[in-house]
Amino acid sequence: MTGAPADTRAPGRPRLSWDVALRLGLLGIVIVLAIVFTIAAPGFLSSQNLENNERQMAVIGILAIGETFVIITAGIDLSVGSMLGFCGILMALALSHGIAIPVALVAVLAIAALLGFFNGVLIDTAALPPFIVTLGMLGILRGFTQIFGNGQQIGFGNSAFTDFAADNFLGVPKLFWVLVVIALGAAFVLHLTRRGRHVFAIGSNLEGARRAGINVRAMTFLVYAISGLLAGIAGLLLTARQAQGDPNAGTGYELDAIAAAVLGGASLFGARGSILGTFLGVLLVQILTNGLNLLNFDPQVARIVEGALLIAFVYIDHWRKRRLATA
Amino acid sequence: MTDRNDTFNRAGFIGLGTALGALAATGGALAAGSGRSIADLKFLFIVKTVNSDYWQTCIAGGKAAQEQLGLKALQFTGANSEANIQGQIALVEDALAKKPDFLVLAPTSANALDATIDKVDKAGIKVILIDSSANTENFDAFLATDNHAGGMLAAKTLAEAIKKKTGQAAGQVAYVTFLSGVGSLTLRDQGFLDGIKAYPEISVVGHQDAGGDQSQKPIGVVADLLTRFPKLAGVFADNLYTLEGAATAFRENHADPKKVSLVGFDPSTKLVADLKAGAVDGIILQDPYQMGFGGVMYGIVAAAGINVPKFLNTGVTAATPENANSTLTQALLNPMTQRHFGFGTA
Amino acid sequence: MEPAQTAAVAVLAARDISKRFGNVVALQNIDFEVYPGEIVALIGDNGAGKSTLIKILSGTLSPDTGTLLMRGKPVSFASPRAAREAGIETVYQDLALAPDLDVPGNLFLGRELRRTGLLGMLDVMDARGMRARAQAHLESLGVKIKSVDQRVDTLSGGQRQSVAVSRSVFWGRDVVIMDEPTAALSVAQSALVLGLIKRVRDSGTPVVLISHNLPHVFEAADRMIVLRHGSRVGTLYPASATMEQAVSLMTGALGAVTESREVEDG
Repeated sequence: MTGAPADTRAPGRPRLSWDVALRLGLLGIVIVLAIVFTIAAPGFLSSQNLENNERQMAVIGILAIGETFVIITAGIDLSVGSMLGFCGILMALALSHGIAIPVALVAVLAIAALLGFFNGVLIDTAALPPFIVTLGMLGILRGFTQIFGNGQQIGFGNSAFTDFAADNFLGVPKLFWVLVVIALGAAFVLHLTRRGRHVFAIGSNLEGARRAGINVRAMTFLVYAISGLLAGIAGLLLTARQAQGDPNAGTGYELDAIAAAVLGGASLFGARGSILGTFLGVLLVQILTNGLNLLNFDPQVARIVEGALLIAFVYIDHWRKRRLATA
Repeated sequence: MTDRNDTFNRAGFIGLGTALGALAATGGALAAGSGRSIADLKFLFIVKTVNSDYWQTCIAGGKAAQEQLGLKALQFTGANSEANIQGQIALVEDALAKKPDFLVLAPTSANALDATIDKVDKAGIKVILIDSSANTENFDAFLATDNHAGGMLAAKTLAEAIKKKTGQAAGQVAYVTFLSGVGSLTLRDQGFLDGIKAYPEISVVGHQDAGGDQSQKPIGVVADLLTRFPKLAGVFADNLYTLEGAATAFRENHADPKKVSLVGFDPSTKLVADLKAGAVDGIILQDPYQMGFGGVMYGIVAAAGINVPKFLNTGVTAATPENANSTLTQALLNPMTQRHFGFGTA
Repeated sequence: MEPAQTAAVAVLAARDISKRFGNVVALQNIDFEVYPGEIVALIGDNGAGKSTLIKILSGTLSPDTGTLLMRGKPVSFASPRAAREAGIETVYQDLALAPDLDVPGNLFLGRELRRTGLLGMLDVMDARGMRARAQAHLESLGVKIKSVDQRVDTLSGGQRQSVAVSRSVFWGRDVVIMDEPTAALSVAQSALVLGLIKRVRDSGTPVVLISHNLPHVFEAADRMIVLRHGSRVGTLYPASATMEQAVSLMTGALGAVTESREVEDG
């Protein structure tokens, strides 16, 4: 029996080509910037500056990791900035009332995960668009944060908690260690496990995933719960760093988190993205901001550059998609 | 500090004296004219935002005046943020409909509120502006901090702290603004630069802008200043958020309090603790309580048809580690519990 | 190719199936059967009831009356998952592939292999194992793709269809149902897929084929069941029937032949 005629169409690109190219490009930009700043800006490579950068990256980095999970499912979570502030205020209130750190920690994080879970319920069960649901939650949480904080910062005089944010472990700020541990855990789950694979599947073809037997409902609940939980952790870290609960903390941070994830290769269409990419995206923004500050540029210049890079990266992503569609 | 006492005494005397004297007249004027007494007056009190320590203190001052005199406050309110201009305009326009006798207002923007203020004034409602100015002339009184003077006081406080630690008022300093283009902040920065000129050995080597971020960015920009200038002797932060951020940056960068000094505007519980511990060298205190209290008082007097002085400087004071526990500083820091009528005995 | 109809038991059969939606009768007393080693095509005009029957066979819908039998035993499917677990795989028209995942990712979609031991307990996938199995499976079916590591959306339409078919064969122990497999394909790509479907039958898995494309049906099917207005109006054998006969049965022309004979040997 003759075999089927061979498909004569030119073979497609190997699987990781675009992702690898994007990530290498990103890494390349980071390295080039680092070299430029090392030469041009005195103090850039000093250990104190490195530590400052590591501390400064932690909060947005953790938010961006949570956002990555959600974006890969072709969803979005706009509530993470408000969640950060909300959890920060709760923690400050708890500590100021003398509640022990571990108890307060667990309680606040449980609330964060539950609120994220609630986002997921609305999005899956009520089939509401993630943009709208999480936008609504953004307002609700910020409102409660302001009420609980009564418009004021809340001090809590608990030095063990604040020391965590200021201290180092093995020469690296503890804040950064938290980011690294979370990043490693997230990368393991997202890229190596079956559940992680299902996250990509849902973003790639929701109906197809459902038909393949993937529990889309449970996975939706899970990714938004993860996003909420990580936002809660970020809130705790920021509160520790500022040594007080700030009802305005985190305002606008959701956009920084999304930008970092997209710079790192996540596509808002879903099914693209990686934890490493997101980490590099956060690193890129941090180095850019820090270097330009040291060179005495207006801090707004960094935002302009970041915005331009974001548009460029999204354009490349869009171009990639168009190119495939015409193939 | 003597600078503050004079101003306070003068302002307090004028303010209080005018108010007390005028109250008698007011009571008389009102009673004679319309059969109304002070307690019949209605007013609205609109600040920039209620989500802030500073404005809560201001409101507390207003409420203290209201309660003591038994007036009816129609509302103590503000928008949801200091940047929400439209929100405040909406609140003021609602005020028109309620027909109060006077309005105490802290305009979020110098220009944007002008038209609305004019409308209020034309409706016969007395307008008392507090804290920030407007460009229109159609108001009855303006009670505020002299921000330029505050900046100069900060410069003086910083220089003296440096001198105490290093033996002379010399070295590199830098300043951080919360947001470029905000009138009160620009005045403070300018005042700082003008005040530092009195110390020729001190040079201003850099400044940063926190871009309006209240959380992490101030920490980052001050940390970067410390990195850029390892020999930095002093930093001036022109508002609460930049001062908080600077204090955190100092702590994280293990800035040596024996070598670097920090002075800035506006207190919080944590900053006062830092002050007492010597981690912060000076906090410039405004007097939001006075603005609120005096605002209501002036409103009452103006509503009685008396011409009040158009400008009242509510003054600035520098709180330092040395005077942190003085009666005056404590009164300014805890107006609700420790503010007395009368003169401070600092 | 002679399906031994009389002796064999149908792998999958439907007896006296009826289904209505409100006032509309979709299926009326339908009998249907698939025997081992055959490709049976389900043909009919639009609205004939083909897709309703397929949905019942694949567990998406339940019949109002009638029974389903697998190898003579009555079965009922509460959900598509139940049908899958019973050994019936369906390839839908939209393929239900995840375009951003590679071929092994799609082959094992929702049924990824786990590593053994501790990593397996942590839900870690056996990526290497899946890749090897996918590679071997495609080779056994003669599907030619440059690299299984490609994302599926970089493949041609025919290759994508082949991946979807291969997936159903990989998991479908008993019957594979294919809904319009050549609908969006070019001539060359269709030839590819039809060849693959025949190899699937040859490897032992019977196929139920729904298609509007009569030439393709005549090319690949061993037997054709014709539906019209929810009823079964005839059984034809491509070897002995003509396309005109099929069309007249489908459209209800007068004097249409309702049965054709199996081709006799010799």
